[in-house]
Amino acid sequence: MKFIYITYVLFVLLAVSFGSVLLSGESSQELLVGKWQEVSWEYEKVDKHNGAEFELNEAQINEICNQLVIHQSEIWEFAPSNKLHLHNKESGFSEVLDWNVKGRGHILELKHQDSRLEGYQVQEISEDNLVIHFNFDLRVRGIVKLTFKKISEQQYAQKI
Amino acid sequence: MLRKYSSFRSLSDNIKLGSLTAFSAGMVNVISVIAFFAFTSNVTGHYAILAQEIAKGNWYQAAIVFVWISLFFLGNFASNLMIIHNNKQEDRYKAHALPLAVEILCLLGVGLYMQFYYSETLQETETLVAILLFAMGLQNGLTASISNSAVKTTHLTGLTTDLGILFSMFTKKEFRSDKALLDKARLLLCIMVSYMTGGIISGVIYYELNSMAFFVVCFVLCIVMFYDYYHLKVTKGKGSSAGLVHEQLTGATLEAQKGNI
Repeated sequence: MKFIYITYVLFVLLAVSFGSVLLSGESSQELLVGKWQEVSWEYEKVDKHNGAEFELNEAQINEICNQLVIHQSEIWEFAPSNKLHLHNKESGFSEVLDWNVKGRGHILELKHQDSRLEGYQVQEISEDNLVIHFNFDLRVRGIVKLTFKKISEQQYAQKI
Repeated sequence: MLRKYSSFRSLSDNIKLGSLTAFSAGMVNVISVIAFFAFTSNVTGHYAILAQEIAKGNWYQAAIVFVWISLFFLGNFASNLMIIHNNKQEDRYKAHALPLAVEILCLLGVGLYMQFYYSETLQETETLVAILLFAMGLQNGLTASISNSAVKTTHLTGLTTDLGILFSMFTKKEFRSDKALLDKARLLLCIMVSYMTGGIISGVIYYELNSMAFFVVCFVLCIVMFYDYYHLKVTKGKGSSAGLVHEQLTGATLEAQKGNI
């Protein structure tokens, strides 16, 4: 009997602790809101197998190429209204997309106006640092890793 | 499928119940992976993710995964609670149908919400996944409880383990002729095939029907629920004596269930 009561109490304690984390903590959706500057792009090369290059078939190449969008030193401005403004001061590029976060906050989905979809796995997110991996939705091991730094309102004003 | 309890169930009862519920579990799991990027019928992966998020210090994500696991646990808890607290002769079918009715309401609610209100925010995603996990817990709790743990339809880890063991046993002649082992293998294979079929079908129809695919799952569950209702109505007069013997043995079946757990 004692064991059962202890288990019930432990479960309630865990539920209360995790509940308070949920109430006080910030989800990745809330953390994303703001302006982010692309800092780096890294490509994790696929393994070589028995000295031979790993080859992708035509269908895989097509799927990757269809989904892959190259972002070049852009500012990613996530608005709370789920609109994402991508812009680059130097090239004059500007685009507005829809964004949302899914799963347990680990999938970032971007929807272009022409209904193209981009999927990223949120690898790390904090107040001022964001690392996302391009999600191919294929069993290919090569990934693109994008790293961002948050731009505070003041820094951003100075920059422009 | 739902009238009989524990060891009074035939292989055919378990195969029908197992196939249909596994089919619906497979459908729900694939729809939720496509729509929410989260598994809803198997919890093993969630335990691994919970440990990983705690290790990384991602407390918010860990809390979400803990809530999801708890909801699956609560689904099983509520299902068995409904069964054991309504375990009376006249209420047997109702007690077994009640968790399914609640599950159908949950799935219907998720389908309707997605159809009319879903704006794809993270909070909505987390809540809808939690409701689906609760629904899957209800279903798994029901099938396991009334079949003496012979039918567990929402996860295939244990099932694949059992199949592996069984098929290794079938390499010996004495086990190949054991009817109980053969029946078990038949049941497990039916569940596995149904789960896969449900997953494949929902993967195909989701792109056509979107959230309305949940209504198809509800339809399958309605078949499970009303099959015995119809059967009870039609055979009401005929099977009363056999039913009485069965009901009088309730105490024995509860003992068997305890022993099995």
